[in-house]
Amino acid sequence: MKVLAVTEKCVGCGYCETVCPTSAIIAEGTAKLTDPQCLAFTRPVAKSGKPSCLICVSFCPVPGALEVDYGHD
Amino acid sequence: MGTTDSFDVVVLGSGMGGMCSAARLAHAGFKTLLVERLAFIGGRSSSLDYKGYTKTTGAIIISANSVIEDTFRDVGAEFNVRSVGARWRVDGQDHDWQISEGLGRAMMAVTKDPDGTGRLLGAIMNAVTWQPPTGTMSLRRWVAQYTTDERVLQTFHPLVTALLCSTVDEVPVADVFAFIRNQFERPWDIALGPKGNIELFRPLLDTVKKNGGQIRRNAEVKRILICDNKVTGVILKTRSGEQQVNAKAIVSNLGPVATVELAGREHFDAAYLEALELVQPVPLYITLNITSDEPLLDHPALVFPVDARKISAFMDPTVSSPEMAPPGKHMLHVWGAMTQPIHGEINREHEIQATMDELKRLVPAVADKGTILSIECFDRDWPTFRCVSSELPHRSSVAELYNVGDGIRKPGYVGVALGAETARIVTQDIVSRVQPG
Repeated sequence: MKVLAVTEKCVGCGYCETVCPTSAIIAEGTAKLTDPQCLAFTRPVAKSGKPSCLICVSFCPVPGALEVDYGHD
Repeated sequence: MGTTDSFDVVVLGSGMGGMCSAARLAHAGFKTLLVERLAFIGGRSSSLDYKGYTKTTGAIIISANSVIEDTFRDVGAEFNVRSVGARWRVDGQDHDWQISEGLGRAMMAVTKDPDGTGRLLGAIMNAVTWQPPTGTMSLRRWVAQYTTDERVLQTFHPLVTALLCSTVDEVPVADVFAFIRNQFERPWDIALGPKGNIELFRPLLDTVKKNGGQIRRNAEVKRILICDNKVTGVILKTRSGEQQVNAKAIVSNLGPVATVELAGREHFDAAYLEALELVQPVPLYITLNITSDEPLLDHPALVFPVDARKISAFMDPTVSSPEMAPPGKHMLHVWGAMTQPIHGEINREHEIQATMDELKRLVPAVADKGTILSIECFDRDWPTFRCVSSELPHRSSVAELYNVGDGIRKPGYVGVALGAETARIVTQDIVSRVQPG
C-alpha cells in the first residue's frame, strides 16, 4: 500500500525531515522519501487502515505537498 | 457540524502577525482564540530542533529597539534577545555597521567613480534628511543619475535582497528610503533569540493564555463566515471534527489572498480584488545551514557582503548563542536571494549551487571544515515574504475582517517587523470599534 507521496508542490523547506522520527525523508532543495524506513509504510494502524505516523504531514506548511494515498498499487 | 464556540476575536495563523495580534488583543481584554493549521506555532517565525541544532523556520533576526520589542513591553512579556550587531564585508574584510549610518563607507571602499559616488552620497543624505524620492522609479535608475559604477549599485544588494527581498532592478527607490529613514529615526539593535524563536515568543503566547485566550494547533480554517458584509465567525477543522466558532472580528495572518479564498471572492469589493491581483510573493529564497567543529566566523555579527551576487547575508548564531548547537559544534546560517528579475521557471538546483559556490568564495573555510546540515527553499506557498510590494491596507472590504503580516502595505516595515507593526495597527483599530465581552 502506498500511503505517502511528495508532490510537485513541495518547496523543500525541510520541516518534514526535521520531525521525521526515522529519517525517512531527506530534504535538500526538495523532499525525497526513502520508503523502507517510513513508519507510515512499515507500521500502519491495522484496524483503521490509517498510517501510524505522518507527523511530517502535520508539519508540512504547504497544503498538498505531502499527500496520503490510501489506494493500493 | 460539531460544537459551536464563541470568542471576541479569532486570529487565523500563528506567524509573527498572528502571535503579536493575539497577545495584544488578549491583553486588551478581548476573549481571543489563536488557531494554527500546523503542528507547530510560529509559522515562518518559529524554530525547530534538528539533529541537536536549533533551526529557524524562516526569520532569525529579531531586532531590539523595534516594534517587536514594543509588543512584548506593551503586554508585559519578557523580551529575551541577544544583540549580535551587523558588519559589511568587502574583499574578505568585515567592517562594523549600523544600518542607520548608511552605506557611504562601503561605497567609497569599492568605487572606481569617486566623483559620481560623492554626488550619490549627497543625494542619499538629502533623501534621508529632507525629501525622499517618491513614485515607482527603481533603485537602479535612481542611482544611475549619479553614477553608473556597478560596484556602487551592488553595495545596496544585501540591504535590498536580505531586508526588502527584492532586487536593485525592481525595488522602488521610495521603498528603500522608507526603510532607511525608519532606521535613521529608530535604528534596530540587530539581535536574535538565543534559544530559538519559539522560546523567545513563548511569553507572548503565555500572555494569550493568562488573559483567558486559547491557542489551538492542528486546527485548519475551512471557511470564514460572512453575513451582510460583516464577519460572523469561522468553521474550523480539527482532529475531532468540524466546529463553528463565532466571533465579532477576525484577524487573518494567512495572507490576503488566502483570506479572500476562505471567505469567498463574492463577498469582496471589486477594487479590493483588483489590488489583490498585484500581490506577488517573493521568488525563491534559499537558506543554508552549515555545521562545523569550530566557528567559521570569529564574531557573532550578521554579515552583509556588499560584493556578493547571490548571497544576501550570513551569520553564525552559535557564536553568540552556543545553546543553538550541540556542545563543541557551530552552525553558519546563510541567505541566498534571487538578485535579478525573474522571467519564467527558476532552476532550483542551479540556484542552490550558485549559493554554495559563492559561500565558498566568501567564507573559504566552508570548503574544508563545513558540513551541510540543511538546504531550504522558500517559495510559492511558503515564501520568504508574502509580497514584494503590496498596496493592500490592513482592513479588507468586509467589515471586521482584518489582515496582518507581510502581505500588507506599510512603507518602511518588512518581514517580522511588518508582522508586528500590522498587529499593532489592527489591535488599535479593533479596540476602537469592538466591545470585548
